[in-house]
Amino acid sequence: MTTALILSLVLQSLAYAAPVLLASLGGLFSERVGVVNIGLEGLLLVGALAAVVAATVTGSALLGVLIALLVGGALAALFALFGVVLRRDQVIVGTTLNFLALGLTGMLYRAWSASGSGGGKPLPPLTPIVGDGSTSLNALTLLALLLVPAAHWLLFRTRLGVILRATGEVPEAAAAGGTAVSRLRVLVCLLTGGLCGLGGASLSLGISSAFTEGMTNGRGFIALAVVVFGRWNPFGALAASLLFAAADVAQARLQTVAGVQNWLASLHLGDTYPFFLALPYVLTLVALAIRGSKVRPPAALGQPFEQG
Amino acid sequence: MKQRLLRDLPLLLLTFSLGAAALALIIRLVGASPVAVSKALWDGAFGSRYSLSETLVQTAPLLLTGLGVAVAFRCGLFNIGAEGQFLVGAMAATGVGILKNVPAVIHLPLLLLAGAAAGALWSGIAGLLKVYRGVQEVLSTLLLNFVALQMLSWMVRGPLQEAQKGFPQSDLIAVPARFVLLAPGTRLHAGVLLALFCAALIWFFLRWTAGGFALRAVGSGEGAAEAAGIPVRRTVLATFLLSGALSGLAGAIQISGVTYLLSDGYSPGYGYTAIAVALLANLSPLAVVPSALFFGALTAGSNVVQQRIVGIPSVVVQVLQAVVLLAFLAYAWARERRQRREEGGVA
Repeated sequence: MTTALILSLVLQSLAYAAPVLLASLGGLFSERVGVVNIGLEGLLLVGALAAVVAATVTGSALLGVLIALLVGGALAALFALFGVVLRRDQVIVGTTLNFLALGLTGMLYRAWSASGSGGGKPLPPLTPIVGDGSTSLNALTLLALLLVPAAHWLLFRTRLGVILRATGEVPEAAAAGGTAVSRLRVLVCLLTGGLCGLGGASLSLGISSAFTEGMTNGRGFIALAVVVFGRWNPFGALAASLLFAAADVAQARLQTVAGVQNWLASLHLGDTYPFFLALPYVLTLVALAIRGSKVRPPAALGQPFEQG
Repeated sequence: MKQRLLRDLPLLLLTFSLGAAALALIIRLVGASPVAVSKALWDGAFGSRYSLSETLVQTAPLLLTGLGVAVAFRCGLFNIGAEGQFLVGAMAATGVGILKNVPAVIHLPLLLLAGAAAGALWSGIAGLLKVYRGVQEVLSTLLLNFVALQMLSWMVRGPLQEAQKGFPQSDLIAVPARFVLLAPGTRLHAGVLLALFCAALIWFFLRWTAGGFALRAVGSGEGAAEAAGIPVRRTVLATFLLSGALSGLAGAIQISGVTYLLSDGYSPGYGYTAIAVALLANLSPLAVVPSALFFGALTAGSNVVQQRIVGIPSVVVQVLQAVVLLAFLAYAWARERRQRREEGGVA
């Protein structure tokens, strides 16, 4: 393999890792304060649409990204209302959020395309920071990578980090120490929504340069698995998202390799591309199974808390 | 009981009106008329003899998958994989349905059995992962949905593809493997009755058998169940199997009662709607019947909405479901709050 090919594979893997990494950092913060958010998938999807619409309308990718951040946060506010303030079961609220996001993005995107509000304007791409074309690194990918040490520092080196982690382990103790547990959880939910909004933007603006219905394809769920696999640690999440992104890139490349194609054809299995598409999910399952019960989630995960 | 229902009614009406208002706003936002949409929704669900039969046809898979979800949730297991279990059930049922030389009398039972078994196996993977490797079932069942979707995509282009190899779909299943139709001019089939029978069966199982008791006990607290001598692991695994079997059966019934063949993108999301069905029924197997009927009507209705009203795509049903669920969650919260106030607790 030439250096150029390797470089392009690495950069592509980084770009593919960005949506999952951003969403998993959001999920990680949520779970660290005791909130389990199955709605990452829906938040990503909403972010992806918001970024495309806003970027097309304003003609600025940066504004698209910012709007995606805000819209992700807004939808997460709905999650926080039901899942934290009204203390409903978080798995159920998250699942509902996914329905809502899938339905709403589908309806709004069609209405928007049909109304011609895009006006045939081109979608401004995310400008590469390094390189160009397929061998480039965009600002959102870079941001996602930089957020990893930042998140680690925040969680493990600051007073706020101690409070965050205590809230997810022993909320009673955190409350006794003067933390407004519910308020902190709501704020973290908003942060999660914002991060997922960015993740969605990195998917629609950074990778696909378009929005399609249901384009997240389970990336939000993989992000949740990444949180577990990475042991609720930002660097762990980075490693896990890179692993899955690399697998995703590899499966796409493998499909086009003549030797692999010939071998598969010799097995007479019919069209085999679904095997490749299923690979990231199977890999995630296997990874979770290997990691197994050796990991321990925050003790108060998913439990509602009521300030006494 | 009746009195409480009467007192809760205003609250119920209030939350659902709020939901309806939110929906109307969304529909206006995409440039359609809320009145026209509600009219189409009603017509599609109850407007004619055919609409009514369509509502029942849509109810059957939702009833069975809803039961599957309810059973798992009652045991404290978040099985969100009904969609995948439904799909593998449909695949296995098709595999059996297209077989030649099967004695006619046993073809349909065999098909149903295959569907249920496949669903149970698929859900059993999540069960094994949970019991032996501590993998959260929320994650494993969700991921298995995506794997099942790709498996379906391969099946209809590979082993189960029609003999002509034209489209990504299977051949028609044999005639004896199909459910009889109940009303001429409609798609109403005998599988709907089987689904109803299953609801009664699950109710009986949960309420009156030792296995059902163990399932509920584990759901109310693993520690206590263990202390009471209930084999927790075995109960969890058995619940996964039962839950998956019900969703797998739903897939089989859909094959032998409605479509007679398997195609790409086979499910319009029955397995996800099932979660809403189970929740609205408060996880009670008997209440799953009206709840499935309600969502069945929504599904049948939104099929007509999508045909009749420009700008409203089929995904509108997801929005409807989400709004219903949010309204229900708000209602449950308000009711709990009032109850606690009345009991003199801190609100």
